Amino acid sequence: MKAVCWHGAGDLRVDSVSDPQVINPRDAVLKVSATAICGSDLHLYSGFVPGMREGDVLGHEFMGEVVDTGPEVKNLQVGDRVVVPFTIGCGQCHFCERDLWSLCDNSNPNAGVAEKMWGQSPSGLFGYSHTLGGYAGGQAEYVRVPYADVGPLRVPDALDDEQVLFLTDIFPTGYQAAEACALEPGDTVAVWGCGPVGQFAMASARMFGADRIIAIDDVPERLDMAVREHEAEPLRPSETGNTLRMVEALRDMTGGRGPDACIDAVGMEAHGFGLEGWYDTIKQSARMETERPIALRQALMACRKGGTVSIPGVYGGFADKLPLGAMMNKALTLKTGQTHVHRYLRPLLERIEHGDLDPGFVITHRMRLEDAPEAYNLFRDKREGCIKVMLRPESARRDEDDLIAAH
Amino acid sequence: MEAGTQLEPVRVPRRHPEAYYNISAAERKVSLAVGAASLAYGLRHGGAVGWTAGVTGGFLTQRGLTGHCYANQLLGRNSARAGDRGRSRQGPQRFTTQLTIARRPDELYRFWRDFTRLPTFMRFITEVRPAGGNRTHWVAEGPWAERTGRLEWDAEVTEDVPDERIAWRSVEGSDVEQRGEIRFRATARGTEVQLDLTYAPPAGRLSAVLGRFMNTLSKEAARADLRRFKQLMETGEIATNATTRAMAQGGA
Repeated sequence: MKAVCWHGAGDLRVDSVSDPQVINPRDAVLKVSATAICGSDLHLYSGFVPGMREGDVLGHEFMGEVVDTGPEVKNLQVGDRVVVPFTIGCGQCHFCERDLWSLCDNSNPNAGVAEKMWGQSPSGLFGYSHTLGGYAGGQAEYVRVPYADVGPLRVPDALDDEQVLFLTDIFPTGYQAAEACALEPGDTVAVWGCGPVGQFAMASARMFGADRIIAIDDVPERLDMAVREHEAEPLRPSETGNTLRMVEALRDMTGGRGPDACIDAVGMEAHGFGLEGWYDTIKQSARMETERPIALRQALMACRKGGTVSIPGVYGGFADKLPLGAMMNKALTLKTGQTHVHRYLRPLLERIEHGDLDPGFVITHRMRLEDAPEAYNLFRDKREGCIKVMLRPESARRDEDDLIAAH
Repeated sequence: MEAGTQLEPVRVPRRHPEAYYNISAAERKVSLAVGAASLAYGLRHGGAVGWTAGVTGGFLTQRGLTGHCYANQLLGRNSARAGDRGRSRQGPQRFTTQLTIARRPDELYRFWRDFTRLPTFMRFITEVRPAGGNRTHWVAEGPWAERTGRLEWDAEVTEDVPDERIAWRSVEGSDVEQRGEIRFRATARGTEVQLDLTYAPPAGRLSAVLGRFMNTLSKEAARADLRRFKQLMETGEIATNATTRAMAQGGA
């Protein structure tokens, strides 16, 4: 089959690899109908996530048709159309049983490596480094899905792929980030990063009753989307400047208090200005820190006293010059983590069915899986107004054409 | 494949890097200190003397950092001792590790008590079969064994407290002296399980094959064994990132 394979920083290729098979009794194999490139895939593409090996298949946002199941998968039938959570959860450990699926004790076969890096191992993820399991991802024609009896969710035929694909990651991720802010009436939420996760965080903040949303980004079409879709108030870092100026700007927009909740939907490759920007760029390039935590610094500094800083953005290792003093002295609450996708699948599917939100609004590019290397470049460089790329394998497109022809 | 086909269990991965440590801990420290100093001297001074100091310093630094000396390897010299991080261990090696498992002590005890199941999750233990009475016959195979043969021993149960603990040890005349104990303790968070494994050369005699086997042992390896036991008990299977059954069988 064809799959998007990592061959080093900045080097992706569509390779021919072995078709995946059912190995364990609770496995299923899917024929992928649609997959997407996540902002966090760009961290792999830039080579800033440790534990990648040549030939690794990328992709953790995917859906498709069940083509095979292990003997213990009783809830799925061959032919079922499902979406799959990007976090792999066994459903039977202490954490899964408490709905903390991204902390699954059992799904990371390389837990020993993760324990060395972080003390304890979180769940495995699809296509996201050997530290997080080394599982082949779903930017491929087929994918093996472990614990398929508790992960995949059947989706109604009435909803098309574009409406349900983002249940796999970015919609629940934005939703969890907004939920973590524990918003109260009258609250203002500032969101760093208006990429897809930022967009869903803003949409979800509206669902949780945010009074005002401040969208922070420098990419015009992303800010426009935030204003158009979520009635956010735009703020451009290039116009405000460094962290101290950003804090001032946010205070001036919120009656001198600062935002009640701050969401960092940027993560480890934020862009800074002036000395601060250079400092992190140089240190990260020299691998003296793994993050450029500019958005997080600003969020901690800007957040109002007693407020919440919620971090859906991905970090991997160690960050420098984090304002711990601001965090402590202002009594901030920090909420973060990979997304417990399983927990949100059904409730958010209901929201989509109910018409509260059509997640397809973030898609700007629809391309062939075979063109993934070009798609990654478009997305990374934010060319042609690229906000979200959906990929379809050529084989899945042919199936669809056949179906249309048959009617 | 047809849905519902009977599946082979995932094989525990058996790949391991060749052990290569051959310098004692003290020697490594000296190597590193002297090496770093001469390297610094060499970089600052240049010239014939500086270059010599620099190259020698580089060699010593590398030797100190890695714990492996090519010169030792060529000369057949090995100063590593038991307990040195680099191993080539002569004395007994003991590893203790804990995990919490979301199953009752009696379920865990029952599974472990049938020693023939241990190879499903213990790396390098390829077979355990009943050997009469409270004895079992153990076979260990790994990357060291291809040229030099496998290690085998008989073990007898020395302590057996249902739902609490099982202890076993190899009998006289085994290829390796092996002792083990597993304990189960019920808590509010699940059953705390402690695995305690000790390996030693019989009568302190270390053969080449046993040396290589001992070099593959570590606390991490014992923990990985215990983790696979947990996976099996909680989920009914051992997690694998393989994509094909051939890969899973090969332990890639």
